[in-house]
Amino acid sequence: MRAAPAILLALSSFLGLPYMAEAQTASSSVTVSKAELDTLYSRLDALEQQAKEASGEEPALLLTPQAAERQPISLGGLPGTFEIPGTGLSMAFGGFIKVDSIFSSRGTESPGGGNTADNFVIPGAIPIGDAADGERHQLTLHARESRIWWKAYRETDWGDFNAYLELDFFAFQAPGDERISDSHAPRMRHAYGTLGPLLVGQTWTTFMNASAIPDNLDFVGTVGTVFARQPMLRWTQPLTDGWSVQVALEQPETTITSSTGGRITPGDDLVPDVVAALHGKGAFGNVSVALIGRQLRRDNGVRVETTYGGGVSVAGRLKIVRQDNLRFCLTAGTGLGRYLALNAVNGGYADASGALAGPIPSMSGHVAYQHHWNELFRSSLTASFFQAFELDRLPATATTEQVQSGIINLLFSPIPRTTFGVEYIFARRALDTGDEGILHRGQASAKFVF
Amino acid sequence: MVGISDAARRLGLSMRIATMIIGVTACAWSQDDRYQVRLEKTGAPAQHAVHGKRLRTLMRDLKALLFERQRTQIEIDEDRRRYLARTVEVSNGLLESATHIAESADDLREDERASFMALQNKLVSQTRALRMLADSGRSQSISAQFGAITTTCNACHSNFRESLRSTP
Repeated sequence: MRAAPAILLALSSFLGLPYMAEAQTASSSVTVSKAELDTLYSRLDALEQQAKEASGEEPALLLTPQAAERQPISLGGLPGTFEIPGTGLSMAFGGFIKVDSIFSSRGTESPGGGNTADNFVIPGAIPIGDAADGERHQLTLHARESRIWWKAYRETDWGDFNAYLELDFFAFQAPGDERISDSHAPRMRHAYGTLGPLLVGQTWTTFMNASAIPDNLDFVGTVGTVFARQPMLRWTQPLTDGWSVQVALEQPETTITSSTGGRITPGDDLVPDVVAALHGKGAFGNVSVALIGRQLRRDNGVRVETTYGGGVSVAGRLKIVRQDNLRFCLTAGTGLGRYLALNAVNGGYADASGALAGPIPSMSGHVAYQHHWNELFRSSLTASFFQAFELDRLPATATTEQVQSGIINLLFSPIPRTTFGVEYIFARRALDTGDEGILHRGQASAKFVF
Repeated sequence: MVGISDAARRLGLSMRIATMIIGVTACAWSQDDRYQVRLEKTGAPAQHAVHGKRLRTLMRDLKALLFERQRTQIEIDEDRRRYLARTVEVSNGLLESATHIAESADDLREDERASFMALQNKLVSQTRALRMLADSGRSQSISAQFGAITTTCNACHSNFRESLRSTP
């Protein structure tokens, strides 16, 4: 009889009986009453009798007791998935709709809905100096962070097979302005597959700990985190008790500050960025330490110029009390460039002759405390910074030297799949010349997860 | 370094004001849970209450996965499977300790014993259902099932905890 409830559960799901529906309600009626059990048993007996009369044989159980214990409800091998018949693949679709309403103390001085820096804080695009005429007090609404994903999963002799594709609507584009239809194009965020410990494809850089990013309404939510998605080949080796080591070869991309202050992206890279990371997770939360080494390279047709960079990043999310948590990230290195503060500073710089002269040292970090006021409300308080060093070596001036931001919010989730929130953002950018710009931003958002 | 002290002062003032507004707003709402049943405090925790506390933490961890912003679904699935496996383990512990609850019935009057045992049986069956939901990956239904268990706990505590204490 141990398997009887499971069999009934499976049977009721096939028959559309109320057992499962009731299991999803938050009341004592979740449990099947004796009367309901009797009804289900009666129907089971009737069905068995019908099958017996039709075939003249004893009917087989719909599920073996072992199978009923293991998979009486989900058709797919993962929660919320369905199996494509004959493929063994469990698949699921999902995503969220997020609508942002953003009031900025100043616009970023270019028009239209394609102005991404008005949609979220881009550290290197915080305007310097007083706001220009016509750029003060601007309102922007968009739903570009809305996201859709698709995943497939199955178990194999080589380990778990996963395929994952994720899109949002922050594509770089010319159309999609705010005049008529806000027709923002989708863009690829993640596209990768895994087989056991092997990952191939585009996803977050191994140098980054995505769970350390604060729960803010702003798209990135901090100026102090490592933030990059790119193609890679990654091996994850589990150790003991929640710890693992990752080693990855990732897409290289050199960015250089020219002698006049412009950005050069030569596209001449030859050696992949090499990343190694140690991850640990448990009842305490999670923590990671990552190392990166990279070559910056430019081939100008006459000679090949190279320089090298590297860095370390410590990040994590620690549980504090109840649901409260502390998220942090501290990164330092040289030549990190595009990995920090959305490429506020380039990886290397050119000397007065225009030759690649060396890497630019930089450092960034954030700390965010999330407090849950109760089951419905939560807030995060985030402080973050970015700092570049040795900018006096650069022949160019007006280079971003430092960025700071502070964010505080109040998020309300009447049900877990819905979040409404308000957020205040303070951000400051300063150049090596001493000029600076301040941005105040108020944001209200609504998010619906499906 | 340029003007960092001025910026820090401005940031600090802005954040203090925003913190006050947000704190007052959030606290103005009641602690009423719309989708979670709270365990009422009626005395010192017993062994089964320790398992219950662990389950409550796991329910929170599972729910928090819906708030993840940047991790991919594959990464989230890894955590979900880990929490569900842990839920099965803790449910087994709760089932074992729930069987010992029956020993307390010896100290009750005859008329109380029947309803006490009915609640104990209900707790056992509900916990088995919770274990089955976790084992089959029905993370969306687990929270509701845990709410039902908490309701049973509250019913038993409010009816019998004082009686058992006063029993010589």
